[in-house]
Amino acid sequence: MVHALQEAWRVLVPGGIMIDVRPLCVDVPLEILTPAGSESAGLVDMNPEIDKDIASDAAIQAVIGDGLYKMVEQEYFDFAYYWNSIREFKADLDERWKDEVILPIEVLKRARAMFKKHQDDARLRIRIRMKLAKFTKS
Amino acid sequence: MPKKKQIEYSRDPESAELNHLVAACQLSGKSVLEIGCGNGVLTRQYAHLPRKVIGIDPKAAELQEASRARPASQPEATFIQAMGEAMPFPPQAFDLVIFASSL
Repeated sequence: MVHALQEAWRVLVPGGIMIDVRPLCVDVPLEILTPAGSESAGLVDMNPEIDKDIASDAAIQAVIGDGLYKMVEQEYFDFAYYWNSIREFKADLDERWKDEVILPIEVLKRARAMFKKHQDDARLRIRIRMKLAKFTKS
Repeated sequence: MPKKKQIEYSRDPESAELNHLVAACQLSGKSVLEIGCGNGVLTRQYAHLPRKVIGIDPKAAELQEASRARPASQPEATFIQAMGEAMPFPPQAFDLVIFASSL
């Protein structure tokens, strides 16, 4: 990670901008959306890759410490994914997110039960918490 | 062999990531490098704004999808197979470098 940040510094013009945008490892609700509103089926565990997140933060601190970058600003926002069925949601999780997310079985069961009540009108949503940090090349 | 069914999902339809990126940095007229562009899903959203965009990723399959999905209206976007740790670019080639969930 430090090497990639050093390479980014090399290819940036003086005063150039480096952006680090990535998801935070914080648990988020699996929401069932219906015409009546949204309801949580429980929390999805987004922590399996927390070691990578900590290492990324450490790498940023290392290159700031080396005087390569200065932080300009940092902000947070929600980033949403939607699915039209439990089947699509589960298939997507198994195919693309299996190393990044743990879905407790009781949350899946609750989501299935809640979804069944609103079959035709319901959708699923996960809103991932994102961090966007902006740096300038020193 | 039957074709694998595409999983349907909607990713950031509110364009939160794009809006925050555009708010954080002036893209117009800039030379942009996106490290870890994957299939170019974010790149395609802003590629019409800068003067030049290069997306790099180590995964060839993702880059093929990125090139395939690139609209004809975005000739300024280029996708190259490369690692962030050893990039095939000269010094001071870009105004902006984006690590998009890739650090």
